[in-house]
Amino acid sequence: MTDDRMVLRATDISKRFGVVRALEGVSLDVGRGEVHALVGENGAGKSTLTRIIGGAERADAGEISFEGSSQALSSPAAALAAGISIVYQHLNLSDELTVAGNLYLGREPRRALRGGVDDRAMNRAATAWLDRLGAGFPADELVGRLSPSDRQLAEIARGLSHDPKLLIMDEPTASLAPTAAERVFAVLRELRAGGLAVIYITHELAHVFDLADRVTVLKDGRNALSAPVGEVDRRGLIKAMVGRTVDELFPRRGRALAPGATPALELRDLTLPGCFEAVTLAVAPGEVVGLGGLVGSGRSGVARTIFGDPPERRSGALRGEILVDGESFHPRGPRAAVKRGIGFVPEDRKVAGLVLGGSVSENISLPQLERLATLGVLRRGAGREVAEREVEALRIKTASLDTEVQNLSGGNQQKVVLAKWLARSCRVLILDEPTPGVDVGAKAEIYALVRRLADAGTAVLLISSDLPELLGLSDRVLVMSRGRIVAELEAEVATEEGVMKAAFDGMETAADLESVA
Amino acid sequence: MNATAARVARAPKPDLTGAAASWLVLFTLAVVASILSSDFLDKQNLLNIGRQAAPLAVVSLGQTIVILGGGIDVSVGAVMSLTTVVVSTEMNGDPAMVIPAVLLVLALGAAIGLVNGFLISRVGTDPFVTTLAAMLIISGAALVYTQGSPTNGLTPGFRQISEGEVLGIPASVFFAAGAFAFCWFILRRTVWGRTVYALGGNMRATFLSGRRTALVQAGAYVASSLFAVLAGLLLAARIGTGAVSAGTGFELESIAAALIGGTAFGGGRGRISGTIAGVLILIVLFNLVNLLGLPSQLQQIVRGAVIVLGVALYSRRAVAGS
Repeated sequence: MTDDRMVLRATDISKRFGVVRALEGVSLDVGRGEVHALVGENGAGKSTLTRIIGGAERADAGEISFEGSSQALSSPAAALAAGISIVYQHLNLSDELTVAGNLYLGREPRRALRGGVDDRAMNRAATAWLDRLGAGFPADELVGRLSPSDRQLAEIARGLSHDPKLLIMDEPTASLAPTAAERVFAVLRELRAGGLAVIYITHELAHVFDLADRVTVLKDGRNALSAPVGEVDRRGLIKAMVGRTVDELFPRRGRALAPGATPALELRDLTLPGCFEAVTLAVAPGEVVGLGGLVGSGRSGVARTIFGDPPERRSGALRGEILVDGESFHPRGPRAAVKRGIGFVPEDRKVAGLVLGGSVSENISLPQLERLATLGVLRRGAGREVAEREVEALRIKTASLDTEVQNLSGGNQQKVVLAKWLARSCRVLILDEPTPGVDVGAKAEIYALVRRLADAGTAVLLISSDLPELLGLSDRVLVMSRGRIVAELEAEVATEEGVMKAAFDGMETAADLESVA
Repeated sequence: MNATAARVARAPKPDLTGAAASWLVLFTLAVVASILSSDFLDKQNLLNIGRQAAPLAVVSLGQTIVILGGGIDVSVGAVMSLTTVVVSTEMNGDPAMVIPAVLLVLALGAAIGLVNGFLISRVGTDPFVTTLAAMLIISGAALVYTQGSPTNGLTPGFRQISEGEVLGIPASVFFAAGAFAFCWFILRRTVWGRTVYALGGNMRATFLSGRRTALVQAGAYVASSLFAVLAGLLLAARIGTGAVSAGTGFELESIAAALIGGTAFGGGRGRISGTIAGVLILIVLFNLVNLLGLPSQLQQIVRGAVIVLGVALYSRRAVAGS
């Protein structure tokens, strides 16, 4: 490629934080109309590199040339002005502003005469982007009222609305529903045809092959691989990322179950009006049951309701029955669920799973403090012993038990959330999106762990938008749509298309029914 | 999240957020004070500092518990005032009434804490607004109760809890030390204390771990009110009278002491040993203003400046650590 086709040329970038070398001589070139995937395990230096390109961080050494000019992009504002727009993984939107207000924050269209903000023009401009991305919410909706998936879409719309020459996306689809992700890809392909350069950071290797033209792998702050996507395969990418081959991402399935065994968890016609309806399912001890469907289909609602934290706080509205080990269970609250042996790994570990400022041992011991105490007084060192055991068993990489969990990588944070419930040995473990933002090595470990738990007799209910994960880890897959279970598939023979088809068919049938009524 | 490697490497360094740093500041301040005024290290002056610090220390311990749990209690000053007037009126100079009067104010304190705690944890009202309203109501009630005049019913025996000395050290210092030990124990060694820290760090995650968040949160306000009552008793014994304005200012000073001591505003992080350092920093500064013969109004300015300085220090540490 000739130089004038290059949008970004980063050469020999090095960056240290204290004694740690985050980047050592990393190079990355992105051409016009190229989607360049950037992959690597957590901590490999991907985010640091993009922060340097985006002007949020200064490199210690190396050179960055953007659009042929090598002037330093000294701040995020300067980078944005030059044409570099970044879509972050962790949402950077203001809850109290509308979607349009967020998109055009600081560059609102003005009214000609009085100079006030021209809300109508702003909403129009924002709507154009939202429509293009297939967003199902209006531009004047408050961001605080959007679901995580819609917020992520708004964030992507904001990145695009700057009309950048280079768009950097950090895990843009981690919290997106699969259909929304497809739509985003379609838009990116259109813009790529128009010359947009994209740096696309992801843990989803499928996306790399789907979307990217070239791929660069970082490992431990160095270039491990850089090649056109056509020249590498999945195995090669994983090897470059992990430094070893991961043959089996998913563990072997469970043993065949004795027929007629009492299910560890059973739902009979469970209904929460406005959220889900007549959900009937059973999970046997040792079984992993997947719950698939689109975001908003009621999957998370079912999980939270079983755990006593229903999304709709209308007590008494809940109908139907929950049985744990064959005995009726009323989900009064998380505490009752925990006592009954139910564990819950909630969606979004940072919001609901972890006390980020707390230490590894404090987090792990939190659900079982009573067991570590006599009359409310903690036994000396008891929490640490439990935590130490789990840190070892789960191979959690942490400097010490006293390290705050916010200092761990995503995969290790997620292991801490699992450890909270492992230490309690649950009868039923509910996992709601257990691996977003987790690198492939840690993913394999988490999957193996879930299977080991099941083999030891735990009943696992797995909710996941990650279809390979749903199919690879589950024994059976139930598909939800519009609050109802619309299909049951044997995971071993089911396909991703089969799950999506069931999810969409369910929607159409429901729509038909409504139109008849 | 990819700068993780850098963070992991930073983790083992000694914890300078809060407690240790504020003791260092206190030590430096004491050295400066002893240079500026030869009277500072005088035994009588040091005993005086102890006597003065005791009520603030006790109320600040309770305040720290509430702040650690993610809340704030601005009603503690009013609770202290109410304690001084009720205890002196009910005692009315009769030694036999000392214990009933003390039990009465403790019951009052527990009730106030329960109401605050119920509103904040169950109804979901804002801690600042709720306790601000409580402060107004309690102050008004104290005025109605006394008709505004100071009350002088404290017995000499009761006053010994501040004025008396054991081994040459003011009795109130022992009370404060006892309160500190108790506080340390419940925060560090009980399920309840662990839960206070956790819910200040992330209330939702704590709730989803099966903790009784509402009960623990309410308990923090009860604790804070009870500590305020104890502080009010020490204050009454020191000043020798009950006055409706006796506790005014303690709400801000207790918050300041906790923050200077490194407790995170918003909760989840902090140590009560830091709070004690914060209390002593404030008291030594006031003491220095007096020793140097500066106008007492200057105390207010010193107070404000120290609070800003403490919070600024904390913010710097927070920024550096983020």
